[in-house]
Amino acid sequence: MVSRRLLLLLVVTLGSLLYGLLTGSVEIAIAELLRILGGHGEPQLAQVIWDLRLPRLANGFVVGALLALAGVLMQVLLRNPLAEPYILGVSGGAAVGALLALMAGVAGYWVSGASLLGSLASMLLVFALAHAQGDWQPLRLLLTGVVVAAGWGALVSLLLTISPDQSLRGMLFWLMGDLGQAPFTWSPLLILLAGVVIALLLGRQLNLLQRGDMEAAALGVAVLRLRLILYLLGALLTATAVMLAGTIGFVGLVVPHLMRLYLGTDHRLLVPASVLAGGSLVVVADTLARSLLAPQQLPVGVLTAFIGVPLFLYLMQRQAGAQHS
Amino acid sequence: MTLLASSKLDIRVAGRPLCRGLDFRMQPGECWALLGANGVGKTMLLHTLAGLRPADAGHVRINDRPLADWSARELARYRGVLFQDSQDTFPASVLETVLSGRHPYLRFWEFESAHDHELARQALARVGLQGLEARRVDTLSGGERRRLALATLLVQSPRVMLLDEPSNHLDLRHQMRLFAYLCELTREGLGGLLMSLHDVNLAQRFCSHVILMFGSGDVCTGPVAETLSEHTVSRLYDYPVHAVYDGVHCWYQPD
Repeated sequence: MVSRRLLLLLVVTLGSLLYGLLTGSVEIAIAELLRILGGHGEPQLAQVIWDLRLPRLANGFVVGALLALAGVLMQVLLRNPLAEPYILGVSGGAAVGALLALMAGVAGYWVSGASLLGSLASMLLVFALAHAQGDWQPLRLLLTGVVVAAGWGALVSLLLTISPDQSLRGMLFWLMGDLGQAPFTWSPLLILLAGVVIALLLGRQLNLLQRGDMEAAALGVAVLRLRLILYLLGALLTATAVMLAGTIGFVGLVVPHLMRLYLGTDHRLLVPASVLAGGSLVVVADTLARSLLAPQQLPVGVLTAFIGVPLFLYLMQRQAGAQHS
Repeated sequence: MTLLASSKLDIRVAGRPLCRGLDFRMQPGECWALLGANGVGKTMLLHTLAGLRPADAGHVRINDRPLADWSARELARYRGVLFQDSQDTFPASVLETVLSGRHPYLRFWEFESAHDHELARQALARVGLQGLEARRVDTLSGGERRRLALATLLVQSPRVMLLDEPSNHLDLRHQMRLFAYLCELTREGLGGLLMSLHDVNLAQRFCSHVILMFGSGDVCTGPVAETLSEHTVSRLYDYPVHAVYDGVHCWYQPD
């Protein structure tokens, strides 16, 4: 049953990628797409695919996958079902960095760079504060992260209030998450792949850690080292995603739960499944965001929530029914 | 050879001494009981002996080697711990849980083999949980979860077992079968067993040695027959008890 469900997930993933490539202000038929991918298509349409849709699709998939994987890691690290990639303040730091750059009137790489600096600063700050007394209790780390994130949130509000009107719209779109800005580069994809490999190798240890630190330690897990790896990896994945697309909400929180309901809690399945599902969700959401009310573009975060909320509630209902019967 | 030993072991929590100068040596084939009133520090002592928290002074040796010389994985193949309760924020299935006992025997990337599954199946059958493999652990009753934790420990098959109130939540039949099995396993396999208990009579019946924790750091150890008496048991629980002999066993009854 598990292999059938994984196969179905793979089909959904491929379907979402195909949907993303075919849909938009210009609809492209499958036959035409195949010709373009083979290098013989109509030049104008080929340009749409190669220069516009494919880079955006790739970025969307990578961002969704990064967020979903970071969500899985954070939920185990903090042993809390409400944990998500942004909970430790990484995105708040990134937002402050990006808004400062936008206020200064720069664009493109400068904004990405500033957001990366912001998230790294936040990561180090939370780490130093939570680690200060040598113990790394999930609750202490969680509270430190939440408090630091609240601080960043206040700074974001302050920046929005004092910034000139002409930069406000760009700032709000950045905050809601926007895949239209960053050009495709290989480094986020490589970071994602490295993260997936590390998480898969740690799979059994993650399974033990989610039962408790003591239980994991008694079965031979070096808990402190594992927690450190999870923290750094989770923060790096999140910072990469935020740098690419701002803060797209909901994916990192709900996709891991969705996949737990669908496949169970074994991380050797949960990690690859969440990566595929997170990527697909953002690709579909982004395609809808740019085609539903075209030419108007909706924030992709709105669509991830619109798709994810009913799907999650449905799976939870079904699971509750199965447990009672 | 000594399986588990401590010398001049001190444990303090927030400045309060729980255990002062504990010395004991557990030889192969011995079953030890750890007795004491609520909050006296039994769990802390078990965790310290298991190497899950540092001692405040003194040393713990497992298989004649200081705890610090063991790697986490190596130690997990030699000593196992049964915890008082388990969390399930993200509940796994019964089979996944019991298979986790094989973790210290597998490399990073390895999946559990058919052999591991066979060990898991045997352990589940041993505790009477066969047929529940696919159930989620948060749907089990308290006693079933306790037996699942024991099955996981059996799959881990450590030489030294440290059990924190193993009889919690278990009905009479499961208690008796469990203790008989664990003691037989320890004696025949020449392992070592230390378990915290709240029932002096269970200790009296199944164990060869006891560690008594009187609170405020006083501890006393020795063979059951020489250590347990009306006087020590009354002092242990700060409640008067008297001994009743039925010709075979000696039972302690509260007055």
